[in-house]
Amino acid sequence: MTPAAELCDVRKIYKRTAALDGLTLTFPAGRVVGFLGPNGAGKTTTFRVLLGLVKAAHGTARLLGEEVPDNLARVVRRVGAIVDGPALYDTLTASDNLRVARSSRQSAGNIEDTLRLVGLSERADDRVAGYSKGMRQRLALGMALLDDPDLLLLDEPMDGLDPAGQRDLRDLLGTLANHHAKTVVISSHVLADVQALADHVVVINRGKLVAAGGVDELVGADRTRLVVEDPSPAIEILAGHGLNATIDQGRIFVETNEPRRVAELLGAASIYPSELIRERRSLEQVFLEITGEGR
Amino acid sequence: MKGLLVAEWIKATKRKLPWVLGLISLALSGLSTTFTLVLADLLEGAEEVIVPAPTKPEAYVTALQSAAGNTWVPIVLTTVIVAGEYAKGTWPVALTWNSSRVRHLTAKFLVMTAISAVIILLTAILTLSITAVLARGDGFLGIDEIGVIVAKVLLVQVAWVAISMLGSVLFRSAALAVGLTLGFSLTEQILGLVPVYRRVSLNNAVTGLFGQFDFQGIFPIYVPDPPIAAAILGGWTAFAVALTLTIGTTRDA
Repeated sequence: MTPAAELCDVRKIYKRTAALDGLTLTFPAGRVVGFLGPNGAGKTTTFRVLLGLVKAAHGTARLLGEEVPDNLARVVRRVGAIVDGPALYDTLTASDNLRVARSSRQSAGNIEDTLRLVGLSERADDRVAGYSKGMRQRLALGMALLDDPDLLLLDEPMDGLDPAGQRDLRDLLGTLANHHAKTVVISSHVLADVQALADHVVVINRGKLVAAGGVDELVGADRTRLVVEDPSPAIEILAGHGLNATIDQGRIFVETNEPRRVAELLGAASIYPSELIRERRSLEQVFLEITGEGR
Repeated sequence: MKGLLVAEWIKATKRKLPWVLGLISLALSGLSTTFTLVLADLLEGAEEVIVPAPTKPEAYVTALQSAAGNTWVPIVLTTVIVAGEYAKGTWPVALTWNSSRVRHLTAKFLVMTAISAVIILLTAILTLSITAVLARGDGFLGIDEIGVIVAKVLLVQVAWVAISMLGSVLFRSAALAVGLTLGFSLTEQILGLVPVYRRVSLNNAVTGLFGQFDFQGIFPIYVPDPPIAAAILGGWTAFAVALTLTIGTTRDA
């Protein structure tokens, strides 16, 4: 299957700073992709290169199989995007903003349906200047969805949404990906949301790819965490049974998702943990480890 | 292209700016035409110290010149809307809907020209009406003459919209673009008195285009013949359009 988007050795320099430093990555098609990186990692620049908003100094970029920016006109109507915040026409109403988007795209998108989808039907005729940040974000999403795009590139779509709005957006994006076979690429700082939504993750830092793969693959298998009075004999016993155990700040971490077996092995040696928990690493932990941001 | 024209039309006409500019243009030109025609009657002996009031049919040309001279209309309209789009970040958003920057810029150029031309033509209708009532003498302009005048008004608007578009893509801030383009327009009037520049001066060309107003030696101004004036305006327009497209299509959004 043709990837939804790819970058190959892309370099983009702003003044003397390399926003993208030989970045090579792939956003697979038909998946919800979490696009992660610390502030200034190059996420927004990546979207901007793919959408032809900025020109890369080096490398190639492809969007829905077409090289961009040269062939962007062939595919741009199949892409919906929010880049760098919800920029809207403040002097216009939500309906007029959507009308402008529809005319510019020459699409047949239904404005009323779109307003209903993003929950703005009742405020459709109000000027956008009076909207809250969350409402602006929802309208921007509506403008991106108007033409029923195959690919959504969403830069911080959760930003400004209240918990209910975040839940609604998660549900909407999940439906789009699962039932309508859309590719959704989300950059977000809310890693719990990305973990809940995405099935593939791409992590960049300082303009370079740091990690990419399935969420489960990156997060890894569950592990067992335990606390005992004297860790050394416990680690020896576990190692003797082929279990990889490490100690960190007085806690033992065992690479197994079977805490019962750990308890049995240690119990046979009369070692009784005061704490024994099966734990799943969060995407946030993985992100902090691989980007070095946690140090 | 049609879709982009509709989009630009919605963006421009759904805001108050064109209406406010239209009202100011009508008020300013209406008042200035009225005073030009009645000042000599109001002040005893005024004809000896100020320019005498023009009589018909020349007074109609003066009235049209007064309307077409509102070059601040296309400047403010274009820079506030186009540069404002850069400043507020909606320009990259628009490019995600339709990636052709040339088409976007062309649509903006055409819509800004159309709106400023409508404002100036309405202003011209007002100043002509005031002149018909207040000016002395007889006669009116023929249909042919009116057609030529409308074309001239359009030519002036096109030139100033093109220059304002250039200011917008260059400065990308409504405040900077309005200030500097209006500043250029005012400076240009003074430069029009400088021998090395006056033959390419836009303001001199506008005066020359409508051509029959006699300044009675008040200013040592160069007033080109209408065909040369049209060529000067055309040259400025081509220069500004070429530079706008070059900058607008090569700079990062």
